[in-house]
Amino acid sequence: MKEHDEVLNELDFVPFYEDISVDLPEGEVSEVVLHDGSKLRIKKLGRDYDPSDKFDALTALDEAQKKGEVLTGVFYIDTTKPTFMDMLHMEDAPLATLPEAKVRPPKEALGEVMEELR
Amino acid sequence: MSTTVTPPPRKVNRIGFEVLSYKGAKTTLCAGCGHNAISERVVECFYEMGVQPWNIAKFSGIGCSSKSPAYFLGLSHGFNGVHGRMPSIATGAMLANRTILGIGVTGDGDTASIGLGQFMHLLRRNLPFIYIIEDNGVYGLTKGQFSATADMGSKLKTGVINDLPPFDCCALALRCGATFVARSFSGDKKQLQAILKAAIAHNGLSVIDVISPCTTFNDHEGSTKSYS
Repeated sequence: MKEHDEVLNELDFVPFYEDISVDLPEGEVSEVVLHDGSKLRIKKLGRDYDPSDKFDALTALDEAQKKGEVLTGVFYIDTTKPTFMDMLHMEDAPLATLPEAKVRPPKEALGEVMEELR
Repeated sequence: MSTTVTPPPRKVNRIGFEVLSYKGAKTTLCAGCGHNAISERVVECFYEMGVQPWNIAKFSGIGCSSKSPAYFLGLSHGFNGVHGRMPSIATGAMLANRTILGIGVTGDGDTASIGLGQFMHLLRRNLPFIYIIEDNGVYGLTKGQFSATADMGSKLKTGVINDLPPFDCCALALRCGATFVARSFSGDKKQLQAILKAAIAHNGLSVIDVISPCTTFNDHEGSTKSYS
């Protein structure tokens, strides 16, 4: 055994646990018991929550955190913002399927660029 | 006298596929790990919504969570990227083929530590993509060090206490521009299914932070994500 040899890992036993499965009520705080008996305090958003306001969502998250609760549900949805594809004006078809005529500028285009640089 | 046994009709979805077409390899994660429950929900949702498996691309980084795409959608495209770099790989793939439905599975280490920069830029771009964070507050694959989502004051099995405040991935997602932000618990089948289905239908970036307790390194009194 060399002096600088140190144990980096130890062999351990991983016990078998069943999956946790719960059905929690909406709008209330529920305690979920984990495998070791410790508890997770989950608050599920109620049906009266409006997910269209970003600042309400941030406030709800902050308040839950202060109380030691894990808030769950859909916090925010915005269906109006343009996607990255729309912003970049991407083609609908996969790029790999585009014909050469669409991906290779014609000779005239090169001519125009060269003309501009004269 | 002979009797004819008629096999029960095959249960298929609206495009004629059995649920088997949406499953993957057998899991190698610990028994009871929340990540396995999330994989099951992914299988159910894509099956029930009738998405063609080969029209889906799944992406991941490194960690226990990032192993899980092997356990669902075995007929779909997949790319297991470098630690924390899944968003840029997914962005490139999605731009090259916008007919594909993209889903990324990552962990709290992959997203909130080494991959935080990539995560922030993904948020501001509103890429049509489902980004699932399997959040357990620890690096399970390297034997349970704290991640950046571990709660302040939580304690490791070795007795080490976390003195640093956590990142809230949902709050970050809200601040930085994600257009669908949700959180669920891996054991809440009904809620997670509903959120996943809504994310599949959403045309934009969907960030879903799923609290998924680690049975091996982060499931004891004083652990993060649990309150004794």
